[in-house]
Amino acid sequence: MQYSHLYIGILIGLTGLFLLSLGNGVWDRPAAYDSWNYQMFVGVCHQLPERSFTINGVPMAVNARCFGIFTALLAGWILMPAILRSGCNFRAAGTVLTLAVLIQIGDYMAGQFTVWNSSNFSRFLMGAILGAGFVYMVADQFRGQNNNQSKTQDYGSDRNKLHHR
Amino acid sequence: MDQTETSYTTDSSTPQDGSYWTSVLLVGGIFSLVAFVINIAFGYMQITSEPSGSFVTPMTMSGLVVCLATCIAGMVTVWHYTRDVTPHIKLGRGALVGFLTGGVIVLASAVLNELWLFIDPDYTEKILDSVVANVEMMDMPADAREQMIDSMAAGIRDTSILQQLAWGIPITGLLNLLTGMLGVKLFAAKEEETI
Repeated sequence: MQYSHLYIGILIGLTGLFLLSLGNGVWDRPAAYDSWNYQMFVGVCHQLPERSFTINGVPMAVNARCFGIFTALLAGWILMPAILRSGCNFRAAGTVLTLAVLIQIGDYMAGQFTVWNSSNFSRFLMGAILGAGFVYMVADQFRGQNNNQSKTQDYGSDRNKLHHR
Repeated sequence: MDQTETSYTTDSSTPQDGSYWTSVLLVGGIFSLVAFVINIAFGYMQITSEPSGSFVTPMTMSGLVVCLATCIAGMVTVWHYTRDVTPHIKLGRGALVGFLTGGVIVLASAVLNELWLFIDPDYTEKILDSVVANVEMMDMPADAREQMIDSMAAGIRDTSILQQLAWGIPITGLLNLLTGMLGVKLFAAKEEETI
């Protein structure tokens, strides 16, 4: 695995993002929307209490969809080394991420036109698909040089075969 | 028989000449201006609209559009960098460029918002009145209604520039850092070796 410092830095950032998004309920304190941990997300999330999960009866600092994105980002990031070690194929990454984005748009539009009423759980799930799709998309850039070298060696042997011919 | 191996430019000898600040400032500036204009436009739509009691108001629509716009800025900056400076960019630099773009957006947006209050000093007050009037029309328990009013009011409450920066840069920066890496994946030059 390469870019290990970047990987660890982002892991710390995503862990902080996840913990902050839980809101005050996890610390058994009432919701305070003017407190810094709620204010941090004002620019990126509407924070509607009706569309947020609650912990100990206190709404989280972000809505269900954003929480799904952040959770899947963190889970995917933690699992990334194992995924890379497994030799996972990333050829479909672009398609997966595109589908994940289209699913968000479709879910939102379906809600707007009352085709179906999404719940907090379904919003969480849709968000999680997007977060996981993102990690799947960027993961192969952290693949170590060894993998690339082994690929090159494979092609190198092909080249030798061609020379022999 | 042709076989092509494609890999992203991760070699330390890869040229990465040129400053990224032009791309960061240009894209960050444009996105913050666009976000500001959208915010103000939807804000006045909110002020002039009749309270409907709906969850979907011009302000929530504005939040959605601005969030999407500001989060992809990191990717757009990397795209501009690869077009304008060099197509060779490492993942770490893409991440840095994305984070800085997020910082510029937060900073410029905060400054523009403060400047707008010189033009229309009652803007925040009018928005608050409109949002509260809309939430009061909603059919929900009184406790939930109070929570929602607090939530929306906090989102548009007048806070100092330093507070906006301290709270805004980490989150917006991190999200743009991630899309900056996505930009490297999508737009950075790939080394091709034809065998």
